[in-house]
Amino acid sequence: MASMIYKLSLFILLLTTPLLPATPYAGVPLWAWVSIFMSVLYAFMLIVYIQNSWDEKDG
Amino acid sequence: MDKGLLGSEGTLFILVYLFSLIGVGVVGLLKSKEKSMSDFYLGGSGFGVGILFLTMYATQYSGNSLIGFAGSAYRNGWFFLVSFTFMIAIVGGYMLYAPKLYRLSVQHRFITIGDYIRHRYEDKFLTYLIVGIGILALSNYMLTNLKAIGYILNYVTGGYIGFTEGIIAMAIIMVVYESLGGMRSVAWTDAIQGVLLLAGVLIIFVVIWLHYGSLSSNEALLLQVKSDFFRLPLLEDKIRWISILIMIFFGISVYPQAIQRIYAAKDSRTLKRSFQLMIIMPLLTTLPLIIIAIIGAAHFPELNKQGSEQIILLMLSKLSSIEGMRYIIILFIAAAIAAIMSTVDSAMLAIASLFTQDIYHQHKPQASQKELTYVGKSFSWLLMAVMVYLAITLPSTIWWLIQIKLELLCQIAPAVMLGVHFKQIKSSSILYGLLFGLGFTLLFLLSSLPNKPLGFHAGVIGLSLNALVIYLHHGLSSKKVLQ
Repeated sequence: MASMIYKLSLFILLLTTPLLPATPYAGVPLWAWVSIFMSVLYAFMLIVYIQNSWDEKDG
Repeated sequence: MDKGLLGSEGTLFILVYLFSLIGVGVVGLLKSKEKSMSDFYLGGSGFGVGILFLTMYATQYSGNSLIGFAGSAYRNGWFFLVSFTFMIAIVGGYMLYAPKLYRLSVQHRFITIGDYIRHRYEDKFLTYLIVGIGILALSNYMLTNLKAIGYILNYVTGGYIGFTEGIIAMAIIMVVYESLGGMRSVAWTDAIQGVLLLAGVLIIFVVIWLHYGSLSSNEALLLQVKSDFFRLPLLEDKIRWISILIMIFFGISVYPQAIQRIYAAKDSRTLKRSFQLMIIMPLLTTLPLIIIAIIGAAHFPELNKQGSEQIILLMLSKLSSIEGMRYIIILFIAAAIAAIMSTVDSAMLAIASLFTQDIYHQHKPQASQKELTYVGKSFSWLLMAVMVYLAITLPSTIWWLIQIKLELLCQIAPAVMLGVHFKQIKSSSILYGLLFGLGFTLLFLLSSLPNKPLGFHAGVIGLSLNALVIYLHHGLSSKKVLQ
């Protein structure tokens, strides 16, 4: 499950690429909004991955 | 005498802050438990979450993050949002090897990246090559940050502290506290510097947002003076974005000073929490800096490259009539100096440990721990003297050399990341891959060939070839064994 989250996070990381038009919304281009959202989602997935995958017993 | 943006009060504050760092060094010395390499270079591997996280944070966010990032965001607009993403992605890079490497480091008492490479591959040449690449990358880091601190001190004190004097004074302070307490002093001063950096960025962000307006309220102005910030991203922008992400993901996550901090964790849980906190920091540091610079571009659209690096100072200085603003300016300058110092001291400590443990100790295996520690400290002084000399005298025409450090450093990622997971990969596969990746990268960077073939950084294509050679060589040599 944890490795699945990590692989999915890499896909999300790729989706931070500016793919959408630059129409401004609240002073920010649309692609930048999506990029920020994807980056935050990627960050969240990494936190969850670390929480689930880190084997504390071996520390 | 005029003391520039800082004024007499600010200069005094900075001086008190700088000399207090030597006090931290003395405390580090008093807290040291034994004269051993592990105690000096890893602080006895006893750092808890607070110190470990702050030293990781302060080390990763160099002076470049505070000044260079704002300048880049000013010039590149929203495209520089890539820095927000890659600062998160670095932790993703750590996750490919850090948990297993930490466990190995506890078992085998590693101090440097060289210790791990030697243990894993039992190949002297490969170890020296990786240590050499690490030293080269860290030296570049030291050099750029020392130059930056000279310029900053000269500028903010209105020339009261000269470029050369500034570099020499800061170098002496750093090498003194490092020699006194080793990693303990460096990590504790990093903790102070990390707090200054975070507080500085957040306070300045709020001040600028309140006085210059939000992104939304600056939209019309931005569309008028910086319409290129809202252009449709082209295919080359997308390729460059992906290329930067790959290079940083694999390059920064294997920095030798970062690996040293993995070894320095008190336990696995401490390391885990520190990494989780590191993931949040781009949201509180990089993103606010990008937004500040973009708002700045709306109000001061005509700055050249040098001027753009001072965009935050310019924005703050225009508000100097507001009561209390000079304290914010002092805080920003202190944060910038702190960010640079935390990077230089960590790089210096890492280089000294690489030299002592991976070069000197290998040639003199009978050397006592006391002797090794003494050699490491002496080397730090020598290294700092050389770096100060180069920072003062090196012409900016060789600046391109500094830009290529990440393209070379990311070539060692397969050795570190594949090594912890695949026990059957031999040193020869890793060595051929590394030589191939390095050769390709250097060929494109040092010749007249394009340094971004197909739009990707030469180092990224070099890294792909590096991995491909490892895969093919490993596959072929495994087949031979089976036959």
